[in-house]
Amino acid sequence: MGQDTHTLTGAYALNALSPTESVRFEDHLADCDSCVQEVRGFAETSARLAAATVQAPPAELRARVLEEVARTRQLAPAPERLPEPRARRTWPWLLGLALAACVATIIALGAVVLDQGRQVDELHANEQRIAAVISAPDAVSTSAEPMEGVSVTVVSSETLGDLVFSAHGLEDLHEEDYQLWLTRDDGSVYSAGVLSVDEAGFVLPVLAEPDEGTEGVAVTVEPEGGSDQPTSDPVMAMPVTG
Amino acid sequence: MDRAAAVPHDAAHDADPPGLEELLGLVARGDEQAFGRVYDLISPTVYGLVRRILRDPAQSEEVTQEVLVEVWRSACRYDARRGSPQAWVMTLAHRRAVDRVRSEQASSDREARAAAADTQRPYDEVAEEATDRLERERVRRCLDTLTELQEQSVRLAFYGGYSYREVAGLLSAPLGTIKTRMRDGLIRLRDCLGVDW
Repeated sequence: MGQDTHTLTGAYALNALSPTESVRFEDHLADCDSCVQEVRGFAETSARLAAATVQAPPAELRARVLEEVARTRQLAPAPERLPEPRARRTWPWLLGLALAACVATIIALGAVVLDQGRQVDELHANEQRIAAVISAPDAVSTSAEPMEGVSVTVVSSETLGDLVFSAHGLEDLHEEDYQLWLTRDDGSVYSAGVLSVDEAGFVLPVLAEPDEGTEGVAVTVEPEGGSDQPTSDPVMAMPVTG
Repeated sequence: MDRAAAVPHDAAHDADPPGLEELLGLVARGDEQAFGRVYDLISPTVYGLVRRILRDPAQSEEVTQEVLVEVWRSACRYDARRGSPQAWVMTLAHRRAVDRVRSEQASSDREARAAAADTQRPYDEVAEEATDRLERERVRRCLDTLTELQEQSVRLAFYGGYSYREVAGLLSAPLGTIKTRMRDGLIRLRDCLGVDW
């Protein structure tokens, strides 16, 4: 399998893998320095291929881009360097999600149906409810890359009423925890627990029971052990379907 | 890192204009003027690639706008230790264009795009810089050193936005062969182009 997976560097660098295969290959990358090196070399090579297609865009595009940039908030440098948690507050970002900084991320979210059988293998076998959600006939899976190097997958089953959140690529935190929240359409949120992240950045899959009106998930950085209500802006947020 | 020096920039500006990497550093701190210069440096390559993949001018403009706004938003996430700024931007651009293609699976002239990926696009009326022309010739020369199957696999995936499964179908070749050809094709291109990452 190792040898075979390694040959995917080319297809991966060319964005020629399916979303599921990409996620799986990124898992492999976490443990394969030579693959990382090769993928970087291919990205540089691809940039050269791209440079051979130079074509000036229509002149009016410049003003449109600069205008959008002027009203687009920039990302914070990285999750671990987020400002200290501030006082508890409501969730204005949720209401204004469409205008918030992560709007481009939300637009970029591509809903994909993952290969559910294989997903089961990747998750902990003893987590039977998690396995049940993932293998449910009506399981709906949404994946996203909310930031460079971070992949998030949410699988939900309407008949079981459960949802599974998993992610990898998260930075290690010191004296702080990532906390998962479910977000409702009225702007309220409730905790789905603190994420357990291993050294390689893998998040142990979390099972949650979304209630009526739940429309998304979000992750914030909270003081160790988690908070009753979020105390910082989310480092990622995505809608859930089904 | 001296990679910034490799950025083709407008020589008509000042004697020693800042390179893309330096400009991204300014953009990361919210410098809109620096972003304007980043736009001028990278938009022709972004638009060229996106247009090559999507073909449709209106969609290409939309995606180009998305990519450039993404560069603004996430400039602080660019890490020079992980690659050149050009590779970072073009990775964003290629991914966005491919996402757009795949989100429209239902529609479409897949065959038309296959044909398009296969032929050299005539260069548009835009004044062609000498550096661009040299680069295109170098890339074409290097593509010529690949085997037929390597070249088709890389072209269809990169310029056509096809998945390797689709490429395998189009070329009537086994999946495993296509995966391997993409990799060894890229290795040969990388070495031919003198990429030193």
